[in-house]
Amino acid sequence: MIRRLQKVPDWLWLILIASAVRLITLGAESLWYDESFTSHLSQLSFANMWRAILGDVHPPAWYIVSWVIGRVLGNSDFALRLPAALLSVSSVLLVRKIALAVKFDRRSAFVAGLLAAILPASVYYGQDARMYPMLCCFVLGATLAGIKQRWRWFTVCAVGASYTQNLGVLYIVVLGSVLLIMNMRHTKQALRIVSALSGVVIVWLPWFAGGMLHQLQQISQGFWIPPLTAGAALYPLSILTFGARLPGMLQVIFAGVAVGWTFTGLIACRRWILTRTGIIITAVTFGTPVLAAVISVLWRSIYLPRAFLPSSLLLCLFWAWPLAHLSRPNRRTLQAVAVPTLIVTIIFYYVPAYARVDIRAYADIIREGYKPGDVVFFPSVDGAILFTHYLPDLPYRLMPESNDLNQSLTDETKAAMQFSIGEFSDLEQQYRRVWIVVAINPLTSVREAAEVARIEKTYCYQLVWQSKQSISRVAIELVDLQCLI
Amino acid sequence: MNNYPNYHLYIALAAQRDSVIFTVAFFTLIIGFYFLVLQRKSPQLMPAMRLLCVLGFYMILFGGIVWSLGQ
Repeated sequence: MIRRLQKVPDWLWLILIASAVRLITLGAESLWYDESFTSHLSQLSFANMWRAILGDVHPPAWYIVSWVIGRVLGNSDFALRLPAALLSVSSVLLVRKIALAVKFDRRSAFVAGLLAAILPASVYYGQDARMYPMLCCFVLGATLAGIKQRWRWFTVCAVGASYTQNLGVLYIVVLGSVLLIMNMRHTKQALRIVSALSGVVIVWLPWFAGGMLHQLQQISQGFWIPPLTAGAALYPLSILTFGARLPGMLQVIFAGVAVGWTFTGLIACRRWILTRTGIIITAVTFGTPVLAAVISVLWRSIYLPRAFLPSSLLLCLFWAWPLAHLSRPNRRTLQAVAVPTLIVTIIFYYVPAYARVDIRAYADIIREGYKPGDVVFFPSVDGAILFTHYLPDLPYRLMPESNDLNQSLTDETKAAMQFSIGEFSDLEQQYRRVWIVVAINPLTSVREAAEVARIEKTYCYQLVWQSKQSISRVAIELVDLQCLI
Repeated sequence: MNNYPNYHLYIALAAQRDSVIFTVAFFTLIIGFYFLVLQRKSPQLMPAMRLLCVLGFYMILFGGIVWSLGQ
């Protein structure tokens, strides 16, 4: 039996492990806001989806994939997340492939792939109906193509990255620049790289001119991403490896482990880093976040940690190498810290208390108490997006001029998403009771808070369910429209 | 921004988290460089320091777990 297991190839082990940790619990948790947004867009007509994308902050590739999946496999949580899971498993294989391409021994390449397969952040995004595993596939594919000098594949992957996430362009800028600088002396090779990059620019330009510029204008007044600080610049190192599903104290401890492990990796890899392939990997891993940080300081904050998921997967190479190549005592010390860290972070990843907010259960509260003549009222867009995924058959109204959680949706997108919009005061003529989903947090607008306060002062209401945290309150209230205070 | 009177709380919370991460990263790097210097200058102290490092980590880790479970 053991002999048979030993014959199973490395890549198959990685597929099995990565698939198991992603697929078994894929549909178990509720969708969070961004995923519900994906779900909402995938149910629109193609024309409306396209209009919605133009007012959003992301390119179209992921939404087109979700739109197709929605029509083929349906709109269940599992189906929506399936492409991300499969792309995440592919990313794991690409990490191993890159490791082998840069002359890692088979064991170290397997360990790099294994880390990419089991790191909680990698699993999280592999179970998230968003574009980040797709970005990883394209960026890692472009990196591998750059190392192997397959310029057609490089062009395809680079175009894919730029159409998946706007920050994917930064990866291509860094990768293209490094490849070009390293091949300056080889005229033929340099010309091939220039022609590959020109192809990328030509295919990307229509999106830049017709979509991205429009998005930039639309969101220029938004405050989606907070200003960058030194600590925020280092945040992806821990959040994109050990994840955020940890108690605060453990997050601090494991942030230290992430920094220490990276430092050890850089020291252990110092000779390899200076090789041709080492420079490429190092530039993509660390250069892209650094470039984003510089742009954030000089222009405006674009430093979105999750967009650096490709960097965190490549970081697995720097983490895997010292586990096998440090001196024996140092290696054992690192293993003594790394192994329990991985075990604890993986265990906490599956602890329900740290899972996504259970919107499904909250929606069930409304569904169980719902009677004909009831309507659901959302003072904010995020409530509408989250709850209508689980209550598609119940009538609802969204408050006019409402905002979304992080100000990333423009009026154009909201219009294309075809919300049922109406004032609360207009509901009296049609309905007897109103379920209100109240979410008061630091990103709640004055108008939203004022409307909720006005309703609570004007009508008799029952507090059906409430959750209070330090700076936020989420509640479901049932308002009787025929009972005025 | 006037439309969001409590936005400063969001920024303050993020800033608090970021400053903790920066502090942790800073001290981790100090320890890392100390180990590098120690390995060159006084390699005979390395076994003891490695042991101290691992034991210190386990103490903090178990302390963190117990503290977290107690919350």
